Order: sequence, then structure tokens, then C-alpha cells
Amino acid sequence: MSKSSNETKKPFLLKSVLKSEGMKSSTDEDRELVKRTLQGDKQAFEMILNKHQQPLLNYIGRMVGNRELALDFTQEVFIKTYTSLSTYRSQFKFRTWLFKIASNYIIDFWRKKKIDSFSIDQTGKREDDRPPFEIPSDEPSICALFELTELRGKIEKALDKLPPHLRELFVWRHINEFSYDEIAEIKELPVGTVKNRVFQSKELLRQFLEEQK
Amino acid sequence: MNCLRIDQVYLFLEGELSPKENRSIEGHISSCEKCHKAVEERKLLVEASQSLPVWEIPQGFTQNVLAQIFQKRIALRDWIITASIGLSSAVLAFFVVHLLSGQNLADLFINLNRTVLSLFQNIVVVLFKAVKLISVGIQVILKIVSLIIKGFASITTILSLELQIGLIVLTIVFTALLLFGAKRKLLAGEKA
Repeated sequence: MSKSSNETKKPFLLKSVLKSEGMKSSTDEDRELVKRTLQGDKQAFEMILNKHQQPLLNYIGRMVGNRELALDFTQEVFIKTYTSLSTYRSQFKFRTWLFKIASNYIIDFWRKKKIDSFSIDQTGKREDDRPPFEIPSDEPSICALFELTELRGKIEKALDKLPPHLRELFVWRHINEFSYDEIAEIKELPVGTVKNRVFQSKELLRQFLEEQK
Repeated sequence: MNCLRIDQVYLFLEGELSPKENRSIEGHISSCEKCHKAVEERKLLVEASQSLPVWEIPQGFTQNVLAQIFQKRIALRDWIITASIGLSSAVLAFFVVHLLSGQNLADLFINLNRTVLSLFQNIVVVLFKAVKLISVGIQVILKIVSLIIKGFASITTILSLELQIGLIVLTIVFTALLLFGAKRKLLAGEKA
């Protein structure tokens, strides 16, 4: 069940085609801004900051769960990005490179704090990457019990309980709205594994919501 | 079509399937209550997840980051400029002295070297003595203070409260008399 490329011109996929076109121009813009920054244009780096700081804070914030710490980390990630900008290779998307730096920064922080970083620092296939399960016949409706605003609040709370390696992928997919290919590139994982883990994260969230009801 | 798996539900909701697969799923959920319910349930979850509130960037954050990045570079550049100016000035001053005094360059260099060395040695000795004196002074003061505290502590344990009060009053009177006597002696000296 994969997306067939010869059907992309049909109206059903118009939205995703437009989105990918927009992303392409955004990627080109990033490459141009990086080039200008390396030539000493400070304004170009300011534009990079303005463009990526919000999604980066959304990701880091959900990973560390503390606003002050998240702001410090976001700042440090940008400083690290600037100092290693000469090592960026333009064949990769800038934002995947940026989020890879951020992900490694968080892993390093947890290692130093002696918090279990294994659960986020995973590149190999694991037992829990099995194909998602069948829908049970007596499945309760959890999400329908809450108003949308209430549901958002419950999801935010449940996110804290999610294992870091699943939370990270969930945030990238649903909050940062990254494609599965982009996530696979950041984590250097097969796309199938990424999809399975994102599905797992949502199913786990449902479980936590059920516990909260 | 068989009942949906959970991965199919999510791929369907996220628009990740081909139109053919999509139509097939739509057909199935219109006739299967269980799958229809599962799709609706996960649709709400995905919708709510995609509209979670953003973490606001505080005002001035961008400027702070830029300042952190570029100040470091400016500071380094400033250091290099300052060091270069300092070195150039020293070399220039050396040549001006050479021209004005008419001294041989080698002699001038040796003299300068000796002056700097002796100055450095003197400063080091003075600094060393000052540090030693201050540390000895601090040690003496600390010992005196600790002795006074110990003395008071033992007095309070040995003597009764009335005696302690009497002793304190006597000490105050004695100190006052001592100061008064010293003052008179000083005034007498002045008159003489």
C-alpha cells in the first residue's frame, strides 16, 4: 500500500503536491540563506532563525518539558548550527540537518544527566517495530468523550508519558508536520520503521487518554 | 475488503494512500461499523494533535541568539586588533627612543630587558610580602576572635546569671574608666 507516483496529478493528491512544491522552494531558500551566511551576511542567518525558531522550540519544549530549559537549548542549538554551518552539505534539507543537531543535543544532555538516553538514541530495528495490530471489536471511543480544547490538553499531558523515542517522532510528524521521509532522514531509519513508530505513539497516546478519562 | 488494520487507518487519515486504496477504504467503512468508529476515533486524535498550541518565542529571543553568536566573534576580532596596536606601539616607541638617545639598538634592547626584568622582580617581591602579611593578619584576628568566643562560652557555663551580669557591668565600667583616664592623660600632655 504505497503512494503511486503516476497518480500524483489527480485532484485527490493536489494538496500534497502543492505542499511538496512549497517545501521545495523553502528548501532552496534555506540553501541560499546558508550560502549567504557563509559569505558573512548576518541578516541571512537572522532570516534562518526567524524561520526555524518556532518549530524548533515546539520540538525541544515537548522533549524537555520546561520552558526556560527549552529556550536555552534552542539558543544553544542555533549557536552550534552557526558554528558548524561550513560542514552543512546542500544535498540534504537544511531543516533535517538542523533537527538532527537538536536531537543529538538532547541525547547528549540526557547522557550527561545520566537519564536513560537509550530510548531516544535508537537507529536499529527493535522488537516493538512490529506491524501495527488489528482493531479490536469492542474498542471504546475515547477522543469523542472530550471537547477539542480539552482533548488537546489531555494529549499534552499524555505526551509527557510517551517514551522519548516515540514522543520525538510524534512531535515531528504531527506538531512540526514533517514528512515520513524527512523523519527517516533525521533519524537515519527506514521509512517503514518511522511510520510504525508514529502509529505506535498514537495508539499509546490513546491508551494514556483512556487512563485519564 | 477485510476489516482495516490500524496502520491503514492512519495512512488513510493522513492522505498517504493512492486514490484507489482510498476509495476501497471509504467503501469498506461505509458498511462496517467497527472500522467506521475506529476511523472517526483516530481522526479526532490526529486533528487535535495537529492543532496543539505552539510554544511562544519570547520577545528579543532572536536578537539574544544573534548577539551570542556575533559578540563572540567581535570580541575575538577586538582582541586581535588591540594586541596588534599594542605591539606596534611598543616597537614604534622602541625606535623613537633609539633615534632620540642615539644608543646602539642592541644596547637599548639589553637595557630595556634589564629594566623590565628588575621591575617585574620588585613587583613580585612586594606582592608576595603583601599577600603574606595579609594572611598572617587574618590568622591572628581569627585566633583572637575565637579565644574571646571560647572565653565567653566557658564563663556562661561556669558562672550564674547574676554573676555574669555583674561581670559585664564591671567590664563596661572598667573600659569606660580606662578610656576616661587615657583621655585625661592625653589632655594633660597637650596642656603641658
